[in-house]
Amino acid sequence: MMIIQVNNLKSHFFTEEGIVKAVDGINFNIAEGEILGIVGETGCGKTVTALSIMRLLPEPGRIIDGEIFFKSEDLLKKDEDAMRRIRGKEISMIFQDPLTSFNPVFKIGDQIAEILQIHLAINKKEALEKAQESLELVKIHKSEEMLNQYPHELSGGMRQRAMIAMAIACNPSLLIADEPTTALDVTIQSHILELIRDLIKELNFSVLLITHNLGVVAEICDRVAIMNKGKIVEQGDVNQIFNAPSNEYTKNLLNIIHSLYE
Amino acid sequence: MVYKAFSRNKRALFGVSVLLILYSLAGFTFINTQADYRWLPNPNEIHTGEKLYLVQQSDENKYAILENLNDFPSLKEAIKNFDNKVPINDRDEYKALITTLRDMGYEDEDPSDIYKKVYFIQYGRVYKVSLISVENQPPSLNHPFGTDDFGRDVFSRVIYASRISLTVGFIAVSIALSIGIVVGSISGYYGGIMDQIIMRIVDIWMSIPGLVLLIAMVSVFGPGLFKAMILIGILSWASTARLIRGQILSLKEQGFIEAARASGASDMRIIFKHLLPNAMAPLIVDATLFLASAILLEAGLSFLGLGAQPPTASWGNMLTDGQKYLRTAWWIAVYPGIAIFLTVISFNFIGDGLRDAIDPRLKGVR
Repeated sequence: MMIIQVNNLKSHFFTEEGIVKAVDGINFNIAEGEILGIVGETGCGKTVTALSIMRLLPEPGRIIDGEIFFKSEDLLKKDEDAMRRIRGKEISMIFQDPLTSFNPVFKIGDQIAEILQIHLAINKKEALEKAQESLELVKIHKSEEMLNQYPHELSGGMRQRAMIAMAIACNPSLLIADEPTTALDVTIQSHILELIRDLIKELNFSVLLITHNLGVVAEICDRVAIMNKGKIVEQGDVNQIFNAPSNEYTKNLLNIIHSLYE
Repeated sequence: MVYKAFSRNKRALFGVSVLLILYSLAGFTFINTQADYRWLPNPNEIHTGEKLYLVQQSDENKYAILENLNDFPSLKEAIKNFDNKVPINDRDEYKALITTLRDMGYEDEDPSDIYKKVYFIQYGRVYKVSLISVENQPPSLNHPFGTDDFGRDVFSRVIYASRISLTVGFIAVSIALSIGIVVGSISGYYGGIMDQIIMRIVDIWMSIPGLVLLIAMVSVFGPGLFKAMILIGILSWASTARLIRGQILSLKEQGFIEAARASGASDMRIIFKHLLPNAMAPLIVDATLFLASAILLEAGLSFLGLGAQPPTASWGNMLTDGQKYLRTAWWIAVYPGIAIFLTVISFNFIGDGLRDAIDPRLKGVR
C-alpha cells in the first residue's frame, strides 16, 4: 500500500520579479516502511517539495497544480483544521538544525508533551510519560533527566535524537526528514541514520529523506529520486541508479562524487 | 546568569532595595495615628451646658467615663479627682474608649464625633482628645515628615499614597501590555495589510502628546483615580505593540516556529506558547520602564487635580496641597516629591539593570 503518492505537483513562488517554478510537475510515491531519498543540489526544490506535502509553503509560494494522496486522501483538498490534525500526528517532520528547531525557553519534556497534548486527548502527566517512552525509543538512556533539560544543555547528536523522539511521539505514518544529518559530524551522522533504520523496523513508518549527500542515500534509502531545477530527472532503486544511471545529470552528479574520492 | 549580571549592577540593586522598603511599608497599612492633645489653657472654653465626657484610664483598654462635667461642683474639683497619667496613645486605644462609651449606653453617638466631646486631664491640665494633629507642624519625632494643613501626618500619607501610585502603575501597565501584546502579536505574526494598518495607527498614536490628550480625555470623562489608570493604560499601548511586533517579526523566522507549525500547532498556540515566551525578556524591561512613566503621569494628573481626588492621598495631589505652603511648610510638598523621585528613579535603574543583564543573550551569546 502506498503511504503517499504525489502526482504532477507544481509549487510556484510568485515574487515581484516573476514566477519561480521551485517545484514543477513532480511525481513520486512511497510505500509503507520504505525510505525514499530526494537528492539534488541546493535550490533544486527538495525542501519546497517537503513543505508542499505539509502544506506549509511560506508566502509568496503556492501549490498551483497536482495531487498529494496521503493514505488515498488528497491533502490539497483538506482545510486548514484537518491539515493541522495531520501535521505532527500522521506526517511529522525533522529539520536540519536541531538547535533552532527547539523552543529555547521550554524544557525538552514539555515540548514533546505539547505535541502529544495537541493531538491526543491526554493530560500533562500522561503526555510526559509518553514523551519519556519516545525518548527511550530513540535510545536515550537518561530519558527522565532529559525531560527536564533545556535544548541548549544537549549536544548536537542528543538534540537530533530528541527531535526524532518528538517526531515519532504520535506514531506517524510518514516522517519527512529535511537534511537530518547535515549539521552533525560523521560519526553522529551514521548513528542517527542507524537509529532511523531501527525505528522503521520497530514502528513501520515511511520516510521521505531530503539530502544532498549521496553517501547518506547509499547508506539508508531503498529508492532515490534525483531532482534538478524543480523536476525529478530520474528515480528508482538505489543500486540501479548508482550503478547504471541513465540520466545525464545523474551521471555528472555521480562522477563528481567519484572524482572527489579519487 | 541574568540574575548574576543583575545583582552585580549596583544601581539596579539600589532601585530594588528602595522599592522593597517603600512597598513593604505600604503593605503594612501603616498609618501613623499618634494621637495629639490640645491643651486648653482656659478650661472655661468647655461649654458646661453640653454633654461632655471626661475620661480616665482605669486599667488597660478600659476607661472610666464621667457623664457630665456639670456634676462636679467645679472644674477644678473634677481635675483633682481625675488626673490621669496615661493619655490615649493611638487609634486602638481610641477605639477602646469608644467601646467603653458604648458599653455605658451611648450607642446613639456617632463614634467619629465622640472625640470632639472627650476631654482628658493630665497633671492638672485639661486636654481635648484629638486624633488629628495640629496643622503645619515641622518634622518631629512624632511626625517624621511633619503635618499638613489639615494636621494630617505627612509620613503616613506619603506611605499610603505609595499604594495608589503602585496600583496606578501596575493597572496602567497591565492594560497597556494587554492591548500592546495582542495588537503587536497580530501585526507581527500575520504581517501584510493588517500589519501596515496597525503600524500606521501606532505611528499616529505615538505622535499625540500624551499628557495633553490625557487632560482632554479626563475633562470629557471626568476626573478620578480609576479613570486615570485606565486612560494612562489605553494611552500607552502603542510603544509596547511596536516592541512586540519587532520581536515577533524576528522570532517567527526561527526554526522552532516552523517546527511547531509542522507539528500541528495552531496560530494562537504558536503566538502565545512559542513566540511570546521568547519575547518576555525585552517585554519585562519595557514594562519596568513604563511603570515609572505611568507613575509620573499619574502624579502629573493628580497634581492638576484630575487624578486621585482628595481626601485620597496621592503623591500628585499632595504636591498640589503643599504648593501653597512651600515657603512656610516646605515638608508638605517636598516629601511626596522625594517619594516620586525615588520611585521613578528606582524603576528606571531596575529597568536599565534588567536590560543590561538580558542584552548579551539577545545578541545570541548563550
